[in-house]
Amino acid sequence: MSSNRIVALAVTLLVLACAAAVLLRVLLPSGPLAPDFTLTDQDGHPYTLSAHRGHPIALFFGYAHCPDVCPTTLSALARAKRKLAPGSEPFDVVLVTVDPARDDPATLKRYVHLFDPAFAGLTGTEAQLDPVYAAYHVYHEIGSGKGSANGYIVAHSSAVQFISPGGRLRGTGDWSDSPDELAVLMKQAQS
Amino acid sequence: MNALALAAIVISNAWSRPAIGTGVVYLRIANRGAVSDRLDAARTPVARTVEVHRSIDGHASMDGMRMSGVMSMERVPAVTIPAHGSVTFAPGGYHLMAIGLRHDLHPNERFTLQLHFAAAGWKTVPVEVRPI
Repeated sequence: MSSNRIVALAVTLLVLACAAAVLLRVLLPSGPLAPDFTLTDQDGHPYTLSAHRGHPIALFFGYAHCPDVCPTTLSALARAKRKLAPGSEPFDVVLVTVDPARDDPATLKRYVHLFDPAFAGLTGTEAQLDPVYAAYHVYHEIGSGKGSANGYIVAHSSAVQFISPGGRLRGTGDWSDSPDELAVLMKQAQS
Repeated sequence: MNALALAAIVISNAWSRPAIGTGVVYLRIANRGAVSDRLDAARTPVARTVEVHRSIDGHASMDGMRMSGVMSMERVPAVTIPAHGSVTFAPGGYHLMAIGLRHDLHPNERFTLQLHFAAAGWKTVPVEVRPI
């Protein structure tokens, strides 16, 4: 085989590998430590991320007045979780609110429990939440609320961030991923 | 109300999700007629108000970086249903927002939704709350 053909073969394999990585939604094998935070959970108790090491976590930012994208994501995460092998590492799904003015712990509890009784919903003061949004590169912008009986809309980053049991960021999914696609990401984030 | 226009509008696959406070309805509206029509209002006994909204997958600037995957919503006053065409309301796009739910929506529950079209008038459809 000529060297040109070897190079061509190598390039083809590389392109195929990249295409496979995209198609199979492969997460990075490791990543930086997930930035730690302490917020308030759906029962009013403190929730410190680093205290939950040992479980893989899917972290999502949303709000209870969001009727479309947030329930689509949380529903897909609930279905993905059910697709994991029985007896496998329990998967924590954690919603962090982008609407602390309306999402108190009781509201978040009713909201996340629509999807799965084990889901957590976190809130806090703006002073507690702003550094979390910054650390996870979560954009959020509270709209004017004019023109809708639902009050203001919060535009927000829709990524689901996967954290390994060792507390490392492994990669992201998003609201448009199917339960099957999210289940693949969850399986990868379990180790 | 126009009987011909009313017969032309066919609504299918209307479904909702379990919800508190604010619910959602997705469906497909087909127009079998030769003239376009316009969805311009909706109501349901289970909520105070129903509005049409559209989710938008956009981007924003944050810390000097371009961030994609920023989801926002906008209220849409009316949706045109083209002649011999259809519009699908689906997650991440057009949806009917049921605001001020009078009770939590539970899996497998059914409720009615009424849609108003400029030509066809009011049309009632059953909505199924699908389990998670």
